[in-house]
Amino acid sequence: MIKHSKMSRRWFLRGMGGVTLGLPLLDASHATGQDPAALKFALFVVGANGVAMEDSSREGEVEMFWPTATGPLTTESLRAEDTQYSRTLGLLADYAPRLLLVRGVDQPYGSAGCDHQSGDNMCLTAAKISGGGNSSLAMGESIDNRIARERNPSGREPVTLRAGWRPNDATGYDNPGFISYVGDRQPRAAEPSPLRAYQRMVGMGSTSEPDISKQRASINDLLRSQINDLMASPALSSDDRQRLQQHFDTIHDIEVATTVAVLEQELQDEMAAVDNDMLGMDNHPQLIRLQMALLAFAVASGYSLTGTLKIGDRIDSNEWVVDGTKLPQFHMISHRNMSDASGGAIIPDAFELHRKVDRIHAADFLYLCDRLASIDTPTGPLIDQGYTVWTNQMSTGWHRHDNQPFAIVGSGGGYLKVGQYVDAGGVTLRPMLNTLLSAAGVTGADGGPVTDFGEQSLPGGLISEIIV
Amino acid sequence: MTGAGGVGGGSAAETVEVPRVARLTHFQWANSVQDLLRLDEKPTEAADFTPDAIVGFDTNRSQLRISGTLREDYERAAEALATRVVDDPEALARLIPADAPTDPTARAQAFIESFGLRAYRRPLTAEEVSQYLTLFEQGPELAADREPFAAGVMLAIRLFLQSPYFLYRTELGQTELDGRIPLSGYEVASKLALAVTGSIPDEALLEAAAQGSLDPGNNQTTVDTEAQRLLATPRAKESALHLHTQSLALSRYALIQKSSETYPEFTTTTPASMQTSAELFLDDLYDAGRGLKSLLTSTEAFVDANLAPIYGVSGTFGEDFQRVDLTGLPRRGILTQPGFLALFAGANQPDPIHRGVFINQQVLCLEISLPGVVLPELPEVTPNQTNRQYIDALTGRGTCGQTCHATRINPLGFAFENYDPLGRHRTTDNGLDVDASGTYELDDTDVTFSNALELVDLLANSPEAHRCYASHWLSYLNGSLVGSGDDAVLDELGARSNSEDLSLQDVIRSLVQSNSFLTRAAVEEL
Repeated sequence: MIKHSKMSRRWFLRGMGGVTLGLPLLDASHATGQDPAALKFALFVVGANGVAMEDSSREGEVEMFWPTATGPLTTESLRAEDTQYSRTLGLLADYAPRLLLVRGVDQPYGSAGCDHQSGDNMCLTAAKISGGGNSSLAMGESIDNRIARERNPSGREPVTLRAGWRPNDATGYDNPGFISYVGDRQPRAAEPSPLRAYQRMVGMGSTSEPDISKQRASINDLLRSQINDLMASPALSSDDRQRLQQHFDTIHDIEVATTVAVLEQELQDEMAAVDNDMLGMDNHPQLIRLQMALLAFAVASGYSLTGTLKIGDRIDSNEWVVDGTKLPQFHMISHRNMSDASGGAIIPDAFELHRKVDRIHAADFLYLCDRLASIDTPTGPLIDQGYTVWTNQMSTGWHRHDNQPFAIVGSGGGYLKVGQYVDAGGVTLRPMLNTLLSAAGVTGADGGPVTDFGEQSLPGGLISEIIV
Repeated sequence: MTGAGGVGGGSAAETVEVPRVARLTHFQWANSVQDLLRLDEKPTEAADFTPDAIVGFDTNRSQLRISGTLREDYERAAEALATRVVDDPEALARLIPADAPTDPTARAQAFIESFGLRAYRRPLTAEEVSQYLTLFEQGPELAADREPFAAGVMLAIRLFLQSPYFLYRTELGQTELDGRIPLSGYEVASKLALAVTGSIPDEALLEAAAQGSLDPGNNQTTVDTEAQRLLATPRAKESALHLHTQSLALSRYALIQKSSETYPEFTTTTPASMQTSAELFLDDLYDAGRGLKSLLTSTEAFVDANLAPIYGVSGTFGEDFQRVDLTGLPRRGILTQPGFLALFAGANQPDPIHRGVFINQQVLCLEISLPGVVLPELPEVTPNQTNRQYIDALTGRGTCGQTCHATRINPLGFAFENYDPLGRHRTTDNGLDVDASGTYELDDTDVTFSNALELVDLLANSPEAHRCYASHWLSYLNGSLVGSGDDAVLDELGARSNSEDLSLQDVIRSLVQSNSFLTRAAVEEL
């Protein structure tokens, strides 16, 4: 179901440097309602390799991620978590009134081969895993897909981005770490290039034919007719018809506008520069932030109410620079030795290095929050209309699937009880994702909150402690 | 080790029905559009297409769907290419049949029928021709700024390039024969061309289909003749490299990172050299008509200034690659080339675990799965310990890794301990002699080897490895994962590839004549 807003979208770009306004990609109907819920967005940033949280089975791996105690969060208390206890989440102090931290959420299943991939499969789906080795897949849709399907203009797909290195054509051996799923065993590939993602959002590259709208309408009519003819073939299976129907449903006669919402020129220039060396490690920090800027832009421009960003590939092998020193590859740090498995020399301070990398990722997450907070809407800053989540494919560097971390900024328009740190007590992902879906304005079949997302054999429901 | 895995009730053994509409891969789209529009160069648009979410090879049709963003990509590309063609009189003329009438309507129809035959990879029906003619005739109204004929061509090309009959290869037959459904003559032509050359059928192949020579029943001879002809084209060699790039993870070589302090030989261009060297090696095998045995054991390599010190060859090398005979040096085949060795290596030691996993999965088609929920604690490092000794302490016999690591993964990985993280040959590790020996169950028999050179010889003569190689090709050519119904052809071909040292071309010829390729399963809808 699409909810509509009658408010002018002109205000959307104020404060984020957007200059030229227009609604080329925005379904006009989306901008014509007055329901503030129409602005509920949901963005998901998913890291790899786990975080430096306590792992009681590992000597010396004490808590460095979560705050020291559950309960209310204030700017002052979180600042102390950072300065006195070196807890990574203390870095989010400025967002304490808007912050919801949830621990005690377990991924429902163990490894089905590669732990990284298993975590990717589950973290936004709460679904079973099909297959094994390096080619396992989730057996259900992901939360971003559900949100997009029900709430995006014209059902547009979620924005799906990654900041990694794996070339798009590196197929045949394993997969790059899919977190967004259209459905059962239907992963959605993430766009690694901010420039391409941006050009797609603003419709660049389209023809300059003067009568293009009329031409497209005529051609689209014939395309629909051809797809219908093909779907009528008795030789097709129901799966074939479903994929052709998906194709059919993508055909929209959207007016081509003469102006577009645009991102700051500086960022566009950075995208072009990064695009020349997508695999360069040196570009990785910039790549993450450009992709985050795009997530915010996607929401602000009305392109999509939801999106995901995967940091790294299936694993994250970036070599971060901390205090002028280049660290070992992050994945090796997470394995605590100089290899992607277990054969390299021990990295003696690996856990501390892991914590330092976590802090970089926290700072990046703050950047995304700052982008969202800088955008004004008639009902307040955009960041409060929806929420943005920082999570990870697993919990610790030791490939654990319990205690998937959730740091959420934004209340989803007042749905989530922010300003607190909650221990959910070992619930599975399913109620967590149900709650997040509901906070994003998605409703269940009865019009109430969603309680049945994910694998049906798992306990459903909501996490009431985090709902207002 | 597991063949299925499956967690929470899921299972890889579940049958996923093979779609009867197989969307073009981006590789196939670029080739097809170049040939269809008779362009001098491949269109660059495909490089910017929304990436596909692929498990397996890029032809895996079960995962080739059209998303909203990809449809928009197709639309933009179709518009740009159609405009480019009609704005270039020579390019436009190349698309009009030489014998096309001058009467505008008849000329338009001649264009639609000839272009449509190649775009749809079958003749258009009368209704389809009529549909395109109607659009064509709207040219003056919809593109008033253009000359009417050019406007009509432009609109028609846009529709053709977005048509489901262009974007999907279809298998729409329904007549069952011996429990399976044969593809029609045009379906065979389409599948053969896209599988072998990654492009649309050429005129000769379409003519064979028109003559009925590819129709079900007795088409294997024609299929073989056409396959041989296609395999001699540059497109087929390119397509073969496209498969090997995926099965051997060549494009991942670009991700190789090494410390230039630890390895002064490593430069920013070394990964590209490793990939190019492997590609030249594979192209050379193709040109020479060689097969898996040579892939695994050839002593030839292509070396530039970046790779010469890694290979340990003397001479003068620059940016250009030189063919080098490595006879007498400890190198044989793709698995002892620097790219593979450096890709699966840590910062200061080789990574025998991932080397072993790769060979199990990609050379022997054995699925390897991690057994535990969390990684085991790392053991203390003992002074003067080799990499092998350390990994044995962690994963060898008597540890939790005994089942998989000690018998399946580590032996294959340890065989390559003579090659350091950059791929240089070494005889000592941490001051001790390297032990690259091992025992491994291959073809149901325990085999022993003293190093990688002996191991690659064993693999090159293993029916299991040859069967695996053939299964990669069958999966790639069919655009689907192999299933139990493919066992017979793979068993037979694996054995023959080994005993007769079949060339890659021979492997492909055998597969495209098989029932697995020329028919589809007759699956009942539930």
